[in-house]
Amino acid sequence: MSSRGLLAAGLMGFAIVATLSGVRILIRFDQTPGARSVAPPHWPIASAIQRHPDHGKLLVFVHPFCPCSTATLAELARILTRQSARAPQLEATILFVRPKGATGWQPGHLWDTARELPGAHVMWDEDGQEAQRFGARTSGEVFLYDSRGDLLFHGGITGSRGHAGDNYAADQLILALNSGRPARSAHLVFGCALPLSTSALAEVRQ
Amino acid sequence: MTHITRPTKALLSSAQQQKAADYFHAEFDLLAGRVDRMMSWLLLTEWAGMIVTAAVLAPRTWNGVSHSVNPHVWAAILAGPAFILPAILIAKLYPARPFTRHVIAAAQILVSILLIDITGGRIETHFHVFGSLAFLAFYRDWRVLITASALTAVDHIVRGIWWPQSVYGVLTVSPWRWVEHGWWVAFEDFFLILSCKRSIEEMWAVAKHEAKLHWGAYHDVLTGLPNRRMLRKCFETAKCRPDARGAVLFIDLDRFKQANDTLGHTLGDRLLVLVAERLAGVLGDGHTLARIGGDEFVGVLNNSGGEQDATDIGARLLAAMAGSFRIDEHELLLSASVGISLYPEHGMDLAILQERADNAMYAAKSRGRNQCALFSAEVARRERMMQQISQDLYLALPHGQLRLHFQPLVERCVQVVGFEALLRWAHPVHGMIPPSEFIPLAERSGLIAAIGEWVLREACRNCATWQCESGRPVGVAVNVSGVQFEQDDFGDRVMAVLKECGLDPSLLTLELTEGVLIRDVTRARRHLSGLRQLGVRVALDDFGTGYSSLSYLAVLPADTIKLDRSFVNRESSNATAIIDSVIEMAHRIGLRVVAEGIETRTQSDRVLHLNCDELQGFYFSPPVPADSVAGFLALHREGCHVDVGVLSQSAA
Repeated sequence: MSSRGLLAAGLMGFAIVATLSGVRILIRFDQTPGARSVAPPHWPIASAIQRHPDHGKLLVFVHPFCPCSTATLAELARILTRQSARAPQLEATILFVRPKGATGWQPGHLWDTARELPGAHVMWDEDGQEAQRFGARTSGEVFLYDSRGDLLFHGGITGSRGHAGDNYAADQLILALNSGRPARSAHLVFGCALPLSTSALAEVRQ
Repeated sequence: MTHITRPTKALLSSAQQQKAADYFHAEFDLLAGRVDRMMSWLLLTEWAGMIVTAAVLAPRTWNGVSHSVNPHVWAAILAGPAFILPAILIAKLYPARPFTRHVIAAAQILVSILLIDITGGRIETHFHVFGSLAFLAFYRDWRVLITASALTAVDHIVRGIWWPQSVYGVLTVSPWRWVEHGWWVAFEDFFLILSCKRSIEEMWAVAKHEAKLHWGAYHDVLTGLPNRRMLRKCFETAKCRPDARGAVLFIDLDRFKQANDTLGHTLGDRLLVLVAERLAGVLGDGHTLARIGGDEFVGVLNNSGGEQDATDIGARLLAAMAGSFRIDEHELLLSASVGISLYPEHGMDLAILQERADNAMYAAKSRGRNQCALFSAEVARRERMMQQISQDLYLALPHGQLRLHFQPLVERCVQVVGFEALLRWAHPVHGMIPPSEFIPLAERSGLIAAIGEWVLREACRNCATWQCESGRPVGVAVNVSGVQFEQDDFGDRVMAVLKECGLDPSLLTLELTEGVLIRDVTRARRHLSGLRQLGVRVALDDFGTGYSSLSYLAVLPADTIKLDRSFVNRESSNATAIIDSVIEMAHRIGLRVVAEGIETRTQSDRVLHLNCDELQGFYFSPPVPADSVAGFLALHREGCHVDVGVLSQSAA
């Protein structure tokens, strides 16, 4: 084989190896969930979030800059649009977690997207106090409590990082909403870690 | 070299098909090289676009308050060195190669796949796949589209099963979504592949057309043989071989012009095709036979064994020509003269070898045609002489070296009724040159028209003088060449000469051969009718030597038939019967008959017995100079019986 041929074969080999390695790394990133957390089975009394005694309550914790959470909000939009016709009693609150005193953490495109969700209330969660109360650690983490304050669903509603689309977790959320029965297990959350303070993080871990 | 197959069966010869294939592949490779470059630039642009897209959509990934570059951005950046740049480098190293196209196609689809992943399976990004397929269609190679589509299908099927969101985004409602995706890709592929097929067909059509043009540039369209240009190429190739040894054969058909004029050009062309087939059959595949002119062929023998081989092949060529050629109802006999020159003995330049073979061919013709002659020093000397004579011929007319001699035409041995003007050239070095040697030179050089007009004028002037001197009408016969007769104003020229000389038109007879008349029968009829209306007489010369088509006798207006000497000289009962029949037939249609070439009393008695009207030949008198004619006429006044002895004495 000529030197040209060797070079071409080398290039081809390198391209195949590099591409497959890149795909593997990319898939691993996309498929790696956030840290697991434990949600309170009943609505925390300490929570400052108002809950209507006759309505179910859906909470979503979001990192204001997490690119992966765009998919969560897209899924949420699909679910809320669908649910608004069936169960108008559902209240949705989207909490954007920001560190205390953080400058520059202003509403961005995620905030704007969240505000456009049907029936959703958007608010800041300063220093992750509410996240700490609910044990949320990852952007895109969803909590669903029924009118009695019992936990029906906890976890992510996307199949992977930044990828909207039908997935088992979202289906479970819809099932819980429709049936009022708790989902079988918590679901993996695909997103960035929420900006919790070290003490809050320690508390959440406990 | 590409391996695109030819889509249609072409009606070309195998050589033309090969040439068409060469043209097609060259054009296709040129196109593929251009598309390689275009796709390389496109990949570079897409690489930049992909980085920007990734950076805009998801520049960073967050871990609480700290952040890092999103792996999607890294993926976009590293796609360059991973597969975009290698693909471009391969396109640079191996442009226009089939596998290069497939590598480019794979890189292009990987860009699409990565873009779809980076944008979270957004459906709009799928347009990139369709765009990629459309760009790849510029290759006009449907297999590239199959490669691209196959890679897309593998990606969509694998990820569609294990990770559908990354491919179908929010549209993963149906598990059969991939079928719809696949359908649209197949739909686009179908039209793109159809477009590629059509483009390839068009390229083939152009290539075939170019091959035909190329073939026409290097071949004789009539016979399909190589032409002069191709001959040169073949010879240049042959002579570059080590120990190159061979021969050049110049083949000229004998009296083809006469056959062509008689049969017409269409049949003449068909005859040439048959001749070419026979000659090519003798030479075979190892050698080259080219047609370089009307009835001239040149063969180049490669690596032949020298003189013996060349003369053997020359003899075989002559033998091949010996059989008759059948065209429709015509059965024709034709011969050829072959001149041979050898390389390296006689030179290594085709032009020189061809010229020497041509000289040898003329030597063969001068030895009586249907012969093969090898170039030699004697041939060269003779040709040089002929060239010198040819040059001298230009000066012959202005220097007054041309002479007219007159041979009497005797009416039934009773009286001299006229003379045939015969041209002679008194060359200052070579002496008296017969017309058989210099008339062909005059025809080749184009001087024949000027010489013919001079002959006409001199003959008429002399004839006018005879009338004054003898006091009785004495005619003159002048031979007319084809070149003269084809002049549109030929009749006007004749009349101008008659007027200038003050000669009664009825005393002038124009002698034309059958070949000259049959070249364009309509024109001949028009000219002859015009001349005869003015009173000029017309004689058909050399009757019996050509095809002697009797139908022309009925069509062409003539006064006299001149029986060729070959008939008169034959002393057989058949020849006598033929002469008798011709005279009988001519008299029945109101034509006079002149017997040429009477050399003996027996011949004279025979044709007189057969009721021939006029006689001409050495028996009565050889051609005499103009100044001897007056004496002739003085001795043989009207009504006096021609005394052969007196005539001969007078001529002497």
